[in-house]
Amino acid sequence: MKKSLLIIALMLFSTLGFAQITKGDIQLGGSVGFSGANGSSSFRLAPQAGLFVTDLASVGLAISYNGNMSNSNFFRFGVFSRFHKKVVDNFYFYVQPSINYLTGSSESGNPLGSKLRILDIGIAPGVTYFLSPKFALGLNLGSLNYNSTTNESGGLETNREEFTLLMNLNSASFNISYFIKK
Amino acid sequence: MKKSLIIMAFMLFSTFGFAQITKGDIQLGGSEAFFNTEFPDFDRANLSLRPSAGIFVSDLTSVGIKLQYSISESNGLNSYSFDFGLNSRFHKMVSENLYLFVEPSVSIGRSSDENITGSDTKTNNFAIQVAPGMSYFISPKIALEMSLGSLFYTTSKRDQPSGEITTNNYGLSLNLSTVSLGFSYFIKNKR
Repeated sequence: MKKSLLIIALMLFSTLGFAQITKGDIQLGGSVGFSGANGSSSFRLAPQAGLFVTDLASVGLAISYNGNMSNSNFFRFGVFSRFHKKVVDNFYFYVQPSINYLTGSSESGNPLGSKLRILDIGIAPGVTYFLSPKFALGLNLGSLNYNSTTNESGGLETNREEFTLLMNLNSASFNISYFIKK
Repeated sequence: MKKSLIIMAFMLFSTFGFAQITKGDIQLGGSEAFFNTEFPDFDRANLSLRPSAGIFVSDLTSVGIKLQYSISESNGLNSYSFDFGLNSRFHKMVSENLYLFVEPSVSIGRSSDENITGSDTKTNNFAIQVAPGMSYFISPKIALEMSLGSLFYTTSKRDQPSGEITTNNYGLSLNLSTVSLGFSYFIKNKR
């Protein structure tokens, strides 16, 4: 009886203590990939990490590199913060402001090459659902963005500024993140 | 005390009795699609069937087959393709209801495209891949499937009048940023 109570208590604990974000947790996500076809290849690396500075707010970094064999190289550097609100157990709503800077150059299709710089400032809502204490399924719900794009091609420089408000639940994209618990 | 014991028992029951894969279970999945578009000078129709089934040979390992058949018609030209694949899934339970798996698979296929001249272009396809994924049980019989990337090699041989053209593709990806979701249905082994 004592033993079974202990087991029950343990089980209860494991159920109750499930998937609460706590200060100090680290959230990891992103992608890495390599592909090739008949002599050409491309590579991309895009890790993302966030550190919870309180039980409901995190700050993070998102960097990425994209490159291929025709001397095309693109780097992106971004910082973001996420403010969470717990809806029910295992389910959080969040708002994520972010700033991203992308810079890169490509030599394909142009002897002089082309350069690209993008500054992007945005705010995006989303939801996070914990599938287990360490794995969470995320869903982006749209974004409000400002971006400034500078394109330098063959000595000619063009600049474009854009405001976008995107709210599309039909084409929402899912992501997975892994939590390193404190 | 009695009441709290009942609550505890209930909690235990709801946790235990749920979504454990057992040997003999059959997992069904796949997708079916049909569309037809018609314009005065253009028409296109497509039907594709992609059933898949697996049987659990142990509590954590399944073997299965995947079929893919599609026929399409575009401006009077027909094409069809057929693929046959074998796969196996090795699961690891992460927590209640959540399993990580690694899925090696091989598939062979053949497709045929009708040309304007009336002749057919035949293509032979071969693919081998290892793909990680996750299954999350939203009920004892229905699981949400997430694919997390793949290590793949595909080769296709296309018969042309000028000779055979071979295309090879290979790659490795692990992608947590854009995950596609699917569902599968489990026929539980009654034992």
